[in-house]
Amino acid sequence: MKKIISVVLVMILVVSLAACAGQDSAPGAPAPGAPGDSGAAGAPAESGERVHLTFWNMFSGGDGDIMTEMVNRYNAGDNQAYIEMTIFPSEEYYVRLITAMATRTAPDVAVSHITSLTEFVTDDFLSPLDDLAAAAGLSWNEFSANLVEGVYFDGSHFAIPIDTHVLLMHFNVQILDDLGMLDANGRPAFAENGDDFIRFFREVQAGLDGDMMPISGTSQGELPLYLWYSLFTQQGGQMISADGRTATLDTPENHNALSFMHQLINEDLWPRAQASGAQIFVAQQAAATFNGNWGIPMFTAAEGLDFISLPFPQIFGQQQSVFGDSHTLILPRQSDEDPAKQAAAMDFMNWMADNTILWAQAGHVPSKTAIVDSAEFNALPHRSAYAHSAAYATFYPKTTVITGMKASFVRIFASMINGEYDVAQAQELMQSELQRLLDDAH
Amino acid sequence: MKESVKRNLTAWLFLAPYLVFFIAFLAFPIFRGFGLSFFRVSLGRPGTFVGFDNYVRVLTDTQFWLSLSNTLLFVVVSTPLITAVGFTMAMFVNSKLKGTAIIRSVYFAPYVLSMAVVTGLWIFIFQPYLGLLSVLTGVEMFWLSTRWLAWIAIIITTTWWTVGFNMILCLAGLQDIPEEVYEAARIDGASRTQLLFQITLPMMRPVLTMVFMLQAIQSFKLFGQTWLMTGGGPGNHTRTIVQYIYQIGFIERNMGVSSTMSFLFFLVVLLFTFGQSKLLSFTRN
Repeated sequence: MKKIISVVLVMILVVSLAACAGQDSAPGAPAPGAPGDSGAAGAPAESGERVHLTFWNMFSGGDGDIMTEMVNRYNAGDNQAYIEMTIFPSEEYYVRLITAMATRTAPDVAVSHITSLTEFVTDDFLSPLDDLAAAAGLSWNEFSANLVEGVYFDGSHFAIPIDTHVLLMHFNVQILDDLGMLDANGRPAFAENGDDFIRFFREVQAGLDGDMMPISGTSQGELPLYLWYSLFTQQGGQMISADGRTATLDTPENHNALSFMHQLINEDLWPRAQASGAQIFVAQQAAATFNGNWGIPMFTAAEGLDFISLPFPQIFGQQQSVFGDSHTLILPRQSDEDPAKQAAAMDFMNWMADNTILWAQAGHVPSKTAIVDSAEFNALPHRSAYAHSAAYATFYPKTTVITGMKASFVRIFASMINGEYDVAQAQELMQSELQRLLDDAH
Repeated sequence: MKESVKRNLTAWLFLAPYLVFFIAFLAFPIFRGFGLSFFRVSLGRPGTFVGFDNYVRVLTDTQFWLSLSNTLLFVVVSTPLITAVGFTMAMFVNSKLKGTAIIRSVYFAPYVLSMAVVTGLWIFIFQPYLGLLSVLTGVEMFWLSTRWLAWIAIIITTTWWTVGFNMILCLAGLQDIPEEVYEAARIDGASRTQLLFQITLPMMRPVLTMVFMLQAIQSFKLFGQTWLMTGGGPGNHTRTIVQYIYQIGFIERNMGVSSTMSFLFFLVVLLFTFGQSKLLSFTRN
């Protein structure tokens, strides 16, 4: 009996080794299978004809599932490249990507937030895309104007945007309806200003059971930063002076934004120490939640959750704004640049930009205006209610200190939320940390 | 003459495998890092020479001093604590009571776990609302996000995790003390306290010195527990110097400043170890 098992194991080993050898055969060599024999994605028969490309990203949850689906579709279709995707946890993604780019061992294609591009371009980590894009027939003016602006540095484009994603507010329709807090259109009945927002949630709080939260929202990580940046930019606030050298967070705009957050926390309208605001909302333990459009797949999948997703309210009326960012595709520089690989990479990136209607399933707003205007996109639930807020979304400024700023501010906000800092201390630290980062960078 | 060359060659050949890795992965990076501390350099680009600018920048950075003092605080508190607890456990396990073999394994077991597992376990115990400690005591304390409680949580976690190794070292030392010495002392009418202070501790001095040194160096390297349990928070109160070096180097990509901090930290550890061995040899004489 033991003998049989070991024979079987050896057989498996031999077969799997043979399979590996098959995949390693030189690209360009004729494939063993007949042409047109397009089986399942990843069939070795196909791989020989196509340029193999590595592709890194940091998508998890719903985003990850949909990105995997898109890559499978691309691989199954009749396209130039064959994509081998690796997903890294988002917390470690940029450190891995940056060290890989610095040692010229980066993947052929990678995902980057539009607000990280300045750092990569400044360090000469990225290949400019204009010639490749022209050859592939990609037209930059099909994309939303603010996205093209974001990928443009010193006369060249360095990334292809696939979406805009924005902070939203999601409401539990059932809970608010029971409390009689919905207006005739079935939307939460508050006017878009700070006082009425607080008034509305105080009334919600008064009507709820003790354990339930008026607003859920993760206390750690970047969510408080999105909230703060929305409130800050709604007053026309700027983090950094026009010359890019001086931090400008010792301003009334910052004080107002922090004070508003502090009030929500202090009155327990947005209770502190939440490990996952989304889970609390899904468990129907909160009347509303601060979350981005990326929360929608999870909320949709939650059984019995009746919710609406609306643009983040304009708390300060000076300037219509909300935190936003964009996922883009980049071509990291390689130790030896292979034109065939670059052309194939452009084919993949172009395909992705053309097919963002799939990506929109994850709640994101597509990067091409024609797709945003399409009937297909607007037929998706909730999208028509918030898609327009992508147009006035404010990105972080174009500066090389964004990664450092995020790491610092995330800790400051977490400490302010759990009561370690008051508004004045948090504001002072934000100013001094950002100034330190700017001084180091110049 | 010829014979000695041959002998040396044999020695060098035996040392070669170690030397190759030592030079490639330790000596070269150390010198390269020292060189980088005089440059303004990002991860991707060749740097520009700036002389001692980075040193001025680091020495005037209050966050650098705060992070360094966090690490020193941990070293000063955890080193004697973990050494003492390890010694006490070794004394207990070395007693001829029943069941000590099992207890010895139990005490040592946490040491074989990885950092991620250990911190995951203790986060589960310390976390708010649903944590074991909150549920058992019914007292709601934000262990990991309150200033001094966070340090206590980290020290408890580290002690639990690493004390087993110190215990084994101490146990080896205890078993090296000849039984006849105790016997003779007992015949002379020595009390148990006298046995401990006049025989056990003096004879354990070399082992305890080594355990103390190893533990101090281990404590200087504190990073994983704080990174995973508190992220350096609340505020920057548990951010250690190693974490700050990592943040400046790999998140802010400022390799020059990061190397400068590493080098200064190296000097601090060197001074500490030097002072410690001087002090210990002084007390011996």
